[in-house]
Amino acid sequence: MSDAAAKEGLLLAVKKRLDDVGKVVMVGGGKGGVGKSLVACGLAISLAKSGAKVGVLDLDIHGASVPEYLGVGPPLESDARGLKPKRAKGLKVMSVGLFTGSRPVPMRGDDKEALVAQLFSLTVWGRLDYLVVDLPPGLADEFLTALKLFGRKASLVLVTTPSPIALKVVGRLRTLARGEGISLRGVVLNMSSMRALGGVIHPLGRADRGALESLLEAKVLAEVPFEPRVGVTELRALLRRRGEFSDGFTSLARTVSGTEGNERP
Amino acid sequence: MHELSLAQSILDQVAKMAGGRGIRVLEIGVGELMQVDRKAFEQAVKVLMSGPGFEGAALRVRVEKASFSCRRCGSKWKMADVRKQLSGLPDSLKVREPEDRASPLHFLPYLYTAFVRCPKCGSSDIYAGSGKELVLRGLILK
Repeated sequence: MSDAAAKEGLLLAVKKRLDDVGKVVMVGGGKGGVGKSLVACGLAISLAKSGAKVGVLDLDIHGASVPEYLGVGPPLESDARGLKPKRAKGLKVMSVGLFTGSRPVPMRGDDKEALVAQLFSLTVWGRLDYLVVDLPPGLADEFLTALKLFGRKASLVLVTTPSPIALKVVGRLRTLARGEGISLRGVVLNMSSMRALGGVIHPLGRADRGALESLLEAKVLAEVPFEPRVGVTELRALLRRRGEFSDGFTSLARTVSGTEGNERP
Repeated sequence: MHELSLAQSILDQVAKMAGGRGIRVLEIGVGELMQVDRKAFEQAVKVLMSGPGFEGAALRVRVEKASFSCRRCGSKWKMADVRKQLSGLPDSLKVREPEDRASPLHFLPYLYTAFVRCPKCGSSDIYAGSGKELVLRGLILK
């Protein structure tokens, strides 16, 4: 038996682990720097606030930032059943960054499918209502692997900024998701505005909500303003404060946990 | 330490392939890069094989050698060089097991490019051609 047998074994292990997961919510945007990890972590925190059991799987192998957003780091622990996910006040978290710390992770495509399958299937998630998957930029191996592994239970939340370039890239992701039959939850418009000079400005441009929904054939689930304290103040603390930033995530979590806003391609 | 979960995963695969038929011979390959304790793994498989379908089944486990090559300079090396490099891994990156600490590669062997470099030129653009996976090498049904 060949390497195909090894892959078959991994896929079986993933399937078994996935049986304990209610819904998989993939968060992607295609373009780097639009705030995918921030939205994934903010969504996970907001879902957990309502008492849901939530796991976060960081698939950004080369640029893992979920551990920083959620305040966890190496070392990991294991037992006979597998790897224990890091606990971040109610969330269960797994990321390549929890193995590598600040080390760079150079890796070609060949090994990524197996790595992603191992990372998910070796983690003892327990029963989860939601697994939030932070997708990396681009449409390469990690993204395609996530579609393959989680497709049957997954829906996709797109993240973009109002920048015309980001909108163009996220549109490509939308097209791909439709082709692959992935259920689309909707779009998060991140960094849509910011408070400055005593008023509200739109540093990345002003997106017309209706035009955006028409372009992406998806509902805008939430608008999240630029929050300069992200990365300085703990994300959980920022989401505890009342304001447009936390309101955006509350609105997103409500839509994801309900049926409102769901659209199938 | 997670030999039991590895054993379970391979036996799940065996059960699926056997489709209810009994097992006569089971051959498993364990990649050297996984740094699995072969005896512990074999023991774990035997414990799980005590159920129905495995009566009288013969088990063969072999460790498959890992081989590495550098895409930059073309040099080739074996696991011994990797062990040397891993011995310098800081404790903070080792996974805490109940009675020991393990290299991350014990769990995620495919992550080798983050921890291993070409011993000759130092490049991280390297390739492990073999010895990085757990694989069902042979299965003879009754």
